Amino acid sequence: MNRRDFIYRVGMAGMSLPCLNATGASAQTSKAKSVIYIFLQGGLSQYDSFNVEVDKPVLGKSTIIKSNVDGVRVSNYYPKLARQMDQVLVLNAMKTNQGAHPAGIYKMLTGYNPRSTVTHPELGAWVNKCLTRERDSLPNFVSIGNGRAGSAGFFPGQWAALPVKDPDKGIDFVKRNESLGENAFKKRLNILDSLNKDFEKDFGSKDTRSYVDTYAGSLKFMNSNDIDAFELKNENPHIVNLYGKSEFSRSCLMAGRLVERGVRFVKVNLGGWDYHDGIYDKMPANANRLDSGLSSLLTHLGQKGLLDSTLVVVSTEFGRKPDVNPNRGRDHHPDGFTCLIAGAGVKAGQIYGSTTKDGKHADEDVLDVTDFNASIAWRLGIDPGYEENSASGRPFELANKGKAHKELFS
Amino acid sequence: MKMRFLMTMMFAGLCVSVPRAQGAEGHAGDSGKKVASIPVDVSAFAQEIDRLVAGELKRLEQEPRPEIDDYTFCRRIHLDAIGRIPTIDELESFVSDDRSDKRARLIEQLLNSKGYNSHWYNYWADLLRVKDVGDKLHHSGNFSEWIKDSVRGNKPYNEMAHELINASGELYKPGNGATGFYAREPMPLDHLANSVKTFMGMSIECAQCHDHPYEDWTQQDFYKLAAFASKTHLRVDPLPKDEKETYAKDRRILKHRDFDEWIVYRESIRVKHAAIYGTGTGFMRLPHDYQYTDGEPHQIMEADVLFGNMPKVNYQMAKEKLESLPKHHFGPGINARRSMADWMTSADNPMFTKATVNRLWYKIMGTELVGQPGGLTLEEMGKHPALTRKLISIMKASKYDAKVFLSALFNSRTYQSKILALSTTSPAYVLDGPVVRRLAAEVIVDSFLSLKTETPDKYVATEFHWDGFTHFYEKSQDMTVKDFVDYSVKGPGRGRFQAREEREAQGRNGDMGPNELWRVSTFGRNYRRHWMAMLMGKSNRELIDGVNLEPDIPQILFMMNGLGIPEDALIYRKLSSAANHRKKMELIWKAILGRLPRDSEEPLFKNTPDDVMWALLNSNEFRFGR
Repeated sequence: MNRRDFIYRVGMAGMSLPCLNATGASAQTSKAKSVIYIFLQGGLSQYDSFNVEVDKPVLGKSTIIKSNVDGVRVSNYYPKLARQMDQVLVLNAMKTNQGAHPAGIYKMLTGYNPRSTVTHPELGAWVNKCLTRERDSLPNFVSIGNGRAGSAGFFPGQWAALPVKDPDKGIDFVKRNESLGENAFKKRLNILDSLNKDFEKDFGSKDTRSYVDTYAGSLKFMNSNDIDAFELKNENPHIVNLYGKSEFSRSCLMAGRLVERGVRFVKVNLGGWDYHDGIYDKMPANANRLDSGLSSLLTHLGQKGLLDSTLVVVSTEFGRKPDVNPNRGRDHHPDGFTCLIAGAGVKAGQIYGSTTKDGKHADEDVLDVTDFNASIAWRLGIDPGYEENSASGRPFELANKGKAHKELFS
Repeated sequence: MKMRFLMTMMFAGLCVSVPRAQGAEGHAGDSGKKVASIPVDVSAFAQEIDRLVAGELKRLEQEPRPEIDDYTFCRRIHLDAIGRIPTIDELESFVSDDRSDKRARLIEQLLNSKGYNSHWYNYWADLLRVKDVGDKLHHSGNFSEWIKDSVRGNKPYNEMAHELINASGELYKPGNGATGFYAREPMPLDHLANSVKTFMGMSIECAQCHDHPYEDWTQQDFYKLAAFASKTHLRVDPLPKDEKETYAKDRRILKHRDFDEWIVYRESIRVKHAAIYGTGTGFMRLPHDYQYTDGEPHQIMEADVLFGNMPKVNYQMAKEKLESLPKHHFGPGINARRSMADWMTSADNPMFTKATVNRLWYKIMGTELVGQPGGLTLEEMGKHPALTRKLISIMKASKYDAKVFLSALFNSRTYQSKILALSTTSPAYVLDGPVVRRLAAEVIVDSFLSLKTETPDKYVATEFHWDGFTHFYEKSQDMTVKDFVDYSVKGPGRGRFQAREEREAQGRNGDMGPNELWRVSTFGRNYRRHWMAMLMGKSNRELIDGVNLEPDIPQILFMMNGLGIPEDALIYRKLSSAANHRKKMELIWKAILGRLPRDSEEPLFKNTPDDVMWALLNSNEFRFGR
């Protein structure tokens, strides 16, 4: 059997074309090649970060500092990013219908409300499935850090994120066992193929085939030269030194490395934002991580000339209340929270959307989670209305009827 | 009664009290506690299940599935009853046994073995999401031990559930581990939603913040249900009076003196004092942002159930009196939480038994008897209502003894039928036997153990295991505040004092054996230590049904490049004494796949044993139940 056939079994030809924008892949509609998606699990407090143009009591203990853009001010917890707000577009009127973590996270990452009957793919899995080409040897959806890795939902498991729990450890078991020669390994694969084909006859299902596909994907991955992307020790020291030593910073460094090598969607998890109590004791350390890591990442991408082709997204499942509660924390707040986008020609150095001054509601230029996801997909050249069917034959749109907001981009 | 007599005739050995395995066979019949024999009705139950299934097949003019052979049965029952494949000895011994009732005997044996305790601990621990959570359930070991003890003693499920819902008192007191359930999610409204989903299989969490979008539950209904447990809370620090009189002075001194010492003081005192307080007041107040016209923010709600019979609540304060009090008042504790526990776990509760049998059926058969385990409605009875009703009545007749229920299922012809792979061309009725699905993570990992040793269940615990927290709790009962101060300033410091307690605790547990020979359940609470099971998709216990059965690249890379079997493993020892190459091949097939090789597989015999073993272990047949 031809080796190439064996290791790349899934028919990819023609699969990605239907995903592309109906208007075709012109330079304008496909400005971003990749997405770095930083997910702040727990609920970022917007009044202690990037939404400071509200009544003073709403800010709690946060104070306002100027940024390097006139008219854009941020909370004192983000001094580094304050010097790079010319690269960032702040979205202050995000809105979701979910107020609890599991459903909130699910909604933000998949665009859908959780239902007990189906699990939906995350945005990264859609991107992976739509944009993967036959020649790609790295998976196009990678998830760095702890937290929810990156589910493929009703797509076959091969479209799930490749999880990298710890950026300093790289990928475990990616090399064939030393004592095994290549021919011996191929022999084993042939035996395996024969057994699986047999089993498939009487007992085959979507799940068994998903395993077969993932073996194929894993083999391809093993044999790829691009695994070097996961070895941080091979990165140019000058770039490494742009970053701090925290795990989040190292994860951002790896994300930059991966998009440089063409990976389409890299998710970086930074959790712990759920400060229901003692927010001003507990939050500053996390804010510092985000401030350092994101700021280094923007510099890194800028230096490598990747900022134009990379859409950097910072999102969270919902925000936190305008009032500080009796436990000196803030509770969940879905109606008016903040996300950030940068790179890929966003209208940087601006604020899009606002809440009411009392901080209670999203007010102008409200962006629903589904619109947010639609905009990201659109910028990658993918039609937000693209549909795929679940196992039961039910169609689902990528953006769950969200609309791309082109005015976010120049 | 005539029916039963006939049963006795036909199933001799099943209907009389079957003697438990005396330990000579591989399953170590002593589960550590004395349990009642499985009652005579099991065969009758199995027959009743089969009768209903056969009737439905006939009605739909659908062919019944063929019965499975002994090899298939042996592998399947081991996987479903005790969570691992049989060892080669266990398999060969069963196949060569010529007693006519050997299947019933094997079922009985497995249900009363240590393997059962291990496997079902995993299941309940996943459902109850046993996991350490920072400053809430800081250490979940005692919670684990409570579950293990309940399984070892075959505590009826309704009692388990009742204890979990109504647990109070100290978290780390040995024997009081049921408090871990509340501590795992102490936000009262989320906890209520979780309890309802866990024990009644319903998703009502939407109603916490607004009227449920498509079910009947309103936000007021939610708050009325919450009223039963109102003011139940987790407190990890000493009570205010105790704090003020006993601990506060030294705490202030330490805080100003040394951060580490202050932390050790705080954390060690917490081990002694962390507890669930509050028995439930029966009153709840609507939230401050209640948005509907049928009520006001802070309006008082009296406890009420969602459906079924309202249990008795002994109010000691009239609602009018409470209305005159400030809005942080919810009334005195009146044991209303117990009333809710009574209602939730009552045999008359229309959801409790239904949700339970639905879960267990799903675990054993892989199909939805009624619906999704966490998303049932009051009305639905699934595709075969008569079967659902029958299983409900069996569960009630068994008095919620899980072993009896499982025994009824396992002894049925329905269970012992050829497995079906679901697809778009599946027949209309699929409740007539199990369906193909991947084995759970722990089952796969524990099955590797069956290849390594004759006695995979040897180190499954038979009694309470101490950990640093329960051990220190016991010590702390005699500690004065001066002892706590000494403990904080003379110890090895913040990072290491817990490790020291843990070491001392392990010293009390006696020999637990080498951890290469542990089943996953022996690793207990710290799932992070069992990376192999995590790779296979072990539940991270964030969601109630959080098991992941999907493939991913890291899992497959491990299976291809990382899985090793030690040289002294059982399977290698057997291979070295096999008569010829063909016999080696047969041995490998039996040990790993639980069957003889087919004629069509003979071309594969030309390969080396190691190559064949690698392929069989990586095959779909190994990881999917058949």
